[in-house]
Amino acid sequence: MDLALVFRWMHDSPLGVEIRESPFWFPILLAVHIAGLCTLTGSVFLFDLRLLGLVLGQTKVSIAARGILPVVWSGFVVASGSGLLLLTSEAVKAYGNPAFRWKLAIMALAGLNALVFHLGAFRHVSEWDDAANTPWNARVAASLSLICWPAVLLAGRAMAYF
Amino acid sequence: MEWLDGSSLGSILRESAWAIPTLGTLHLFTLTALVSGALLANLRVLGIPFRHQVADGSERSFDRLFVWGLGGSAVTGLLMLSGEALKCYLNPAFRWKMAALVIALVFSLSVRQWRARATRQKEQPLGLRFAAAGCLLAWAATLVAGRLIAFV
Repeated sequence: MDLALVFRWMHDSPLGVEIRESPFWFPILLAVHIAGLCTLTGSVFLFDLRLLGLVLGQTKVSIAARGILPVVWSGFVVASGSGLLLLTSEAVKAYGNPAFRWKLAIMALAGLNALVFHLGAFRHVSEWDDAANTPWNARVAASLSLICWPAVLLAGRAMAYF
Repeated sequence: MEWLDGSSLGSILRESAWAIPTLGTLHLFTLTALVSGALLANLRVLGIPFRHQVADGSERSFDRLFVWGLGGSAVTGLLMLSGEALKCYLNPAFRWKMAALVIALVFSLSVRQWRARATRQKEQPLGLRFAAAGCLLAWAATLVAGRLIAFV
């Protein structure tokens, strides 16, 4: 199936038309999107700093994960839900937008990085829960994440200028 | 505001094609720290994350994230404001944002003071929990009003 057709279909769907033509849906969804992405990236940032041993020194990594990661996921759900609705309203424009393609690609990379971390270093977290020196693969994951998420925000902002 | 608008900094920012978008992006970056710091610190008071951790110092890390975010977004925000001071002054969303911001700051400070006294208890006092919820609402309102500045 042609992806461009899917975007065209989203664009022409009643939902897409409604958001595009209403004077308030788009700004409101944008505000919700920002609230979600701030929650997501800010709390990811804090968890990454914990993996690097820079903050939350008295908190075990597993406990920091249990406290912070649900906040990360909530932010992700809010940001992706509002993001999908925003996308529907300008799907055809976004499809051809290079910044949008970069944004999705970097998000996929960030997701893959998180997956590798969870299946790798984090599975043996009990062995390094208290350690000031976290294992190298946890540090690599944290550093990659610290690069990816600002890049996602940057690409997202850049979408408005293409 | 007229002085800010007419200042040389204001006109430099206005005339450069890059200044305002760059500041906007930096403002967004610093907002992520502010919002998530405020969120985690207040959720902590509400007993949602870190429920079984009493006095582990995690709130200090959340506060630090919040304060860095606040400082950064204040600087980038003020710079952006000097580029479009008059436009903002007349913008109703900007006025709402400033009102919500003052309320959010008062809430943040009082939650912080109150929390310092109520620490080392598993369950925070009801009033403090209400204040934390109010604080989150005020920050959310600030964010929404801020986003609407571009649309009204």
